[in-house]
Amino acid sequence: MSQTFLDQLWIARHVIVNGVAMTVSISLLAILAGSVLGIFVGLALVYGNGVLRLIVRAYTDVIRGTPVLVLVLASYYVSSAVGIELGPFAAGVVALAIFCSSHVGEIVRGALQAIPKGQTEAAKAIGLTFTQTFTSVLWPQALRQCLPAWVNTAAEMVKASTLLSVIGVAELLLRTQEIISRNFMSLQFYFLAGALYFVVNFGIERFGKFVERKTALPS
Amino acid sequence: MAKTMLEIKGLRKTYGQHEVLKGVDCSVQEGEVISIIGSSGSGKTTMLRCVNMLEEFQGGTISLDGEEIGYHVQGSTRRRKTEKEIARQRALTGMAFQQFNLFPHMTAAQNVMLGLIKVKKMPKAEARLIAERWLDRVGLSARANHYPGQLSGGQQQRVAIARAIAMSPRLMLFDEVTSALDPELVGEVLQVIKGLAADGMTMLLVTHEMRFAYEVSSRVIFMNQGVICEQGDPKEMFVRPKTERLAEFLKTSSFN
Amino acid sequence: MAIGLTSMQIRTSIIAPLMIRNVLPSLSSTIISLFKDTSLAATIAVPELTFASRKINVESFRVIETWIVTSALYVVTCFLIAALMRLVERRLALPR
Repeated sequence: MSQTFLDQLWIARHVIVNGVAMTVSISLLAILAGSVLGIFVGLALVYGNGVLRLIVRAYTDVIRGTPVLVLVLASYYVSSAVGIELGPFAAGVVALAIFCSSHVGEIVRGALQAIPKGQTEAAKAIGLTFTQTFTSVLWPQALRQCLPAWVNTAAEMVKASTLLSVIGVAELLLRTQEIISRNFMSLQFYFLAGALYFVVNFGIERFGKFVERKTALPS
Repeated sequence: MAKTMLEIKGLRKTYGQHEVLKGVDCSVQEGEVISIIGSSGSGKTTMLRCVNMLEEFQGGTISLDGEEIGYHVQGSTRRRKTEKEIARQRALTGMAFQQFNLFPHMTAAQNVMLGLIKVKKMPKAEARLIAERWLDRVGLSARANHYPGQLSGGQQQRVAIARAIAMSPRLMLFDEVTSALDPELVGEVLQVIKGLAADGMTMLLVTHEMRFAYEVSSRVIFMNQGVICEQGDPKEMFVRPKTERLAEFLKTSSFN
Repeated sequence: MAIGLTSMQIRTSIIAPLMIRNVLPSLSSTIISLFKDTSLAATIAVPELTFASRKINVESFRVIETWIVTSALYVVTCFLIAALMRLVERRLALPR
């Protein structure tokens, strides 16, 4: 068997590419679903009535107090136990999406509550209804405020995707472990995997900075 | 014959245990410019904010150009109007705030246009023309496409006034609009307000600017502890106050 | 320095107490995150809570109860840690 890292890398290239593709699809799905759900969570926390707010608060407190690995395992085992045929990929993405939603919910809540009350008052004073106030005045400001923290959460999701290896989803970490079990070059390949994750997250952060610059208000 | 634009009868408001307004009666004719003065806690800002329902009130009635504001009152029953109704009524008045409260993510022109487009359902082009006209009126046509972050305090306040007045309100409300400004910027804002007064706009101003109140108001209302203590022509009141509290207040304020 | 303390005295009497009060909130959230991350040790067969829960789940088939209890244990512990940190913050807070 060829002993250089580069040779082994060339042999394993398809496996690694598949791993990266799987990692990206897990992360993307979890981020999208989690963010959409998270927006509703945030809205419920800010504008909901007492009962709704209590329920949603309990939801976010429990999710945030639980390690992500426990969420992934619970999702996997519980879903098959209650008869919902999810399979590891779907179960994992659901768990990550729920985790993401609790973080995004907090971010959205914080952003909306950070907007000075005077904004709502000025909107009321010119006769805007609540919906108009929210869509034209509050949400555009909140969205800008959310951006850095949201980019952070997106990077966290990419890192959390590695946990799906525990339930057998063939993402980058599991693929890396498969490769290592054949050629025993653990240091080199773990390092490669780390570098690939770094590249993905670096890309996400660069993208975030780009969007921030584009949407910044001139002063 | 001047018509009554605003009629306040027996206005009461409590904040928790504390009664902030204890029965205020006030009548404002069209075209009047009324300054409301008093120490903090006197209820002057609260009264102003009741007129456009930024504050709820528990007793009394407010009537703007003939229509009841905020609540349906029939005998002893009192029902709050729907949010839609209240929003429509708020558009009949214009308000300028101490902290300007411009929308930071919109240009000056867009700030002025928002109400016209969303509330008056005007097409964008028409709204743009009106916005530009009013920005020109307050002396800021060169800054129409600037964001609030690029404007000085005085400029922001003038845009805020333009935003309020572009809605063609029946009544303008000014809540201490110069208190947050650096002294050298106060003049430009007062100039704009004087111009609006000369054009015949009915205005209620809560203010600490005694000189302004003296020069421009047709009437001054002095509030103290939730009631109107004294009111009248500033030229009379400031020189010969009838109540002791007003005399005290004038002594401690920066007039003359 | 203006009242004549040595730099060592400055560090212990002035900067250290203020610094500790300042770091408490972020330290609190770091401790809680660290506690939750201990679950990751399960993937390398360290017999901590998550590892044990997985074993119980697979062996007993009592799936839902297992994970509710596990989650509850983590949530309650995090809550207790947070409450403890808040208590410490309050005790050390400067009177206002």
